[in-house]
Amino acid sequence: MMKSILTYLLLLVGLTSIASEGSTNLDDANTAYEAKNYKLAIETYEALIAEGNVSADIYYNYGNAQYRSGDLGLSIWGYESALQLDPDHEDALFNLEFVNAQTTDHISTSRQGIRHWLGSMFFTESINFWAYFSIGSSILLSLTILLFLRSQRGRKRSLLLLASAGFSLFLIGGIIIGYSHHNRIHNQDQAIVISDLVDVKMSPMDDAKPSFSLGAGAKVDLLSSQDKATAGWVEIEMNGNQGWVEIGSVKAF
Amino acid sequence: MAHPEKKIGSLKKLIYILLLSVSSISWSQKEWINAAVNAATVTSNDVFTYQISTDCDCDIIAPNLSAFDIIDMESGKSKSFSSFNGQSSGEQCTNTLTYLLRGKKKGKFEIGEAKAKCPKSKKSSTSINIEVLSADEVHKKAQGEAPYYFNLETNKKTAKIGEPVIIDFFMFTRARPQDITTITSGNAGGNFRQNLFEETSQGFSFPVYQVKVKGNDYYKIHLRQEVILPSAAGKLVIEPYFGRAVERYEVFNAIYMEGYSNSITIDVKDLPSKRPDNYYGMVGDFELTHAISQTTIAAKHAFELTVKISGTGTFNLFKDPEFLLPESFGATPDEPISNLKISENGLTGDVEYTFILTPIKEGKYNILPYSFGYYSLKEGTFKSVATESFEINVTPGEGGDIEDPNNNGGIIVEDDIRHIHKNNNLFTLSGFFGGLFFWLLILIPLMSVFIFFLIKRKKSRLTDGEKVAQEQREVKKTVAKSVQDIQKSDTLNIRQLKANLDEYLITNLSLGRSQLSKSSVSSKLQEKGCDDKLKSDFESIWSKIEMAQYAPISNENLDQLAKDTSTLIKDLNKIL
Repeated sequence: MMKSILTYLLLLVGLTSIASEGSTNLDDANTAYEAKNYKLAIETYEALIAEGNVSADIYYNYGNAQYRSGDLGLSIWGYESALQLDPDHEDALFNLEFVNAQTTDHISTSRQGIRHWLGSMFFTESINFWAYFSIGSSILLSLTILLFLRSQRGRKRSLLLLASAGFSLFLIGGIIIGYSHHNRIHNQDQAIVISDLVDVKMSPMDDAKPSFSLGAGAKVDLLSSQDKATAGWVEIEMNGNQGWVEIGSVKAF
Repeated sequence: MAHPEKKIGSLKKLIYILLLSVSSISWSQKEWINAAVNAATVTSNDVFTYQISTDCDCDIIAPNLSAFDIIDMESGKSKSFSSFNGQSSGEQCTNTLTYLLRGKKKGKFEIGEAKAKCPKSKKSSTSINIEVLSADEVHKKAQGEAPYYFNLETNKKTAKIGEPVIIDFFMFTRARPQDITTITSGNAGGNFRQNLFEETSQGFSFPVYQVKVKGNDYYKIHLRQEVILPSAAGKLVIEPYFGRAVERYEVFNAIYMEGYSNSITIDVKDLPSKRPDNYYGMVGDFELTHAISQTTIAAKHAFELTVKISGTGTFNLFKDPEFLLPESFGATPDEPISNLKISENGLTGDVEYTFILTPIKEGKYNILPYSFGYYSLKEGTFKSVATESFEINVTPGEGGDIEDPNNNGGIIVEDDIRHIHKNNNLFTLSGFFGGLFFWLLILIPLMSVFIFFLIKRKKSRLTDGEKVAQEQREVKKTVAKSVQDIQKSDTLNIRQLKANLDEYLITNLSLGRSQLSKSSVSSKLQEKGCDDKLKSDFESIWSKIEMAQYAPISNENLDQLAKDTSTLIKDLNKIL
């Protein structure tokens, strides 16, 4: 047990050191942004994201830097990614609406439906919150069961049984929400058009007939993941219309 | 004479033929057509129903109905089940085509045969004769003579475009009806019209007067009063209104008085052809007022421009005001506030439009006046109303919050994205959640409880002998340890040593506390197979401990005694 605690502590120290290293770079990126050196800011934000250090704010800041450097598509991608991690990120919502109004398609930012409702309910906290929540529930559940097994008095036993049931639900709920959040972030089933104008084609071929066109910043659903793209093409859907676009013209989130 | 078998054979044949004939007749009865009207004599105002019915398998071919105006047409299919003497005779499906017709002119007309094209045959209905009477003649004849009739009246036979015309719909009846159930206005050529009676309001009752027509007493019931604003020059025909009243209610049904009124034709005169440029159809008398909240304002701050149009006339045609604004002005129109009422004079009241204007850049700007032209019915000429032109001085502003002219809590106008966040709460996506360490931390507490549960369960299932043996093992350990502790302790305690030895002997020799004596323990040791040396060692230690309780003992001797006791317990542990 002592060994486990020691390992855990070591891991925490390790993570903290990684985080603090990331923070240093993040400060550099933020400083570059404030100095209007948007190119450097973008490169630093991208490097941090590539290393796996993320937060809603880093994507939000990245979106801002892209907007300042004139890339609407990537700035929308940044805000959408931020909202993926924190669906109630007020400034990301504002900036997304602001930038969307400047796109050629004047994309609506209305965020409704069960997906958004679930996001606002459960995914505003980080994944690690749900990890700690689940562990806490597990410990409390174990303690209540232990006390229940040792307890002799009827009323006390009933209360402990009730508490055990409650902590069981917390434990299961925490794990389910955590995994949903995890999948939501990792699935990358949506994408933003990052090229200025993209022809969506009927089939994944250069000479295929275009079905419709999309401007930078358009949000599409990915029907095939970018990892499993067909020879440089990826299938997308927007408002019930399907088609194929070149893989480099969209960025998944 | 025919052979009997042959006779039977011919009889069988006859029965078969009869069955075949009956079945073919019944089959042929499935294909049918019927045509009917709800009235054979109508006036040129009356709308009557002509319905063709046939079997669902048949297609209907309607006759020529050009002698009538087709008001409406509807087709449909319905299914019904019939039974005779409790036995179902099957499902019948009916295909119907229903026309609502009105006679164009007076005369006798024939509605020809309707035809049905069925899978087996073609069927035809009978033709129907309709007599159409002149509505005006019938109406005139009915006045003062019929038990009841409906009348349409107007206050003007000639009107200008936009001039309000009042239409009154009356019922004349000798018997006062118990209820009015239906009032339907006739077509008025798509002109703006409004009912002046609030029939749906609580406590409303139709005005009733007692009049004499051709010497006969009638109740004159005012069923509807409408104002119509004609929008085009020419003959405006107000088509007959329909009314239905309940003369009296009977036990299971009601006796109705229903019918159409006469029609009315109004001669609508055009307006003078020389019209101002800003005229688009408004007729009446209007005033235009305006207000501006500020003429000097900081950039990115809002101010309010209000325009109010009041008067009487064709407000139904009024178009929302449009100001020619400088390019750098943002404009947000509020919902217009309308205070219009309908009266015999037409639409009266005012409409107020408010615009929230936001200049973005500093400078001096001119907002051009807004105006519209109208034809004044009072003066019989075209007139124009206009706002002033406004000069707006926009001073440098910092942006951000703008003043809310309505003091509704402030409107935020932001013309840029919001600034970056400097939180350093980064985390890794491939992190803690779902990893091995996470699952260990989840499972370890639960596993601990499970193991505890297993141990507890195992303990509860031990036999008495196993429990005693386990207890003895524990005591052996604890006593041996206690004795060693006493030995190591700086302050040796003879009572503690005795208590430990007593506990060991009670547990391992199954003795009661009252049985603890040198002799009883010795005999028990002998029973357990201890040799004489071990027995004499015990007796020696026992005697020394008993002595030490009453006579002082040196620390060296107590130390030696503890060592001997420890050795004794170790030796006994090998045997017990």
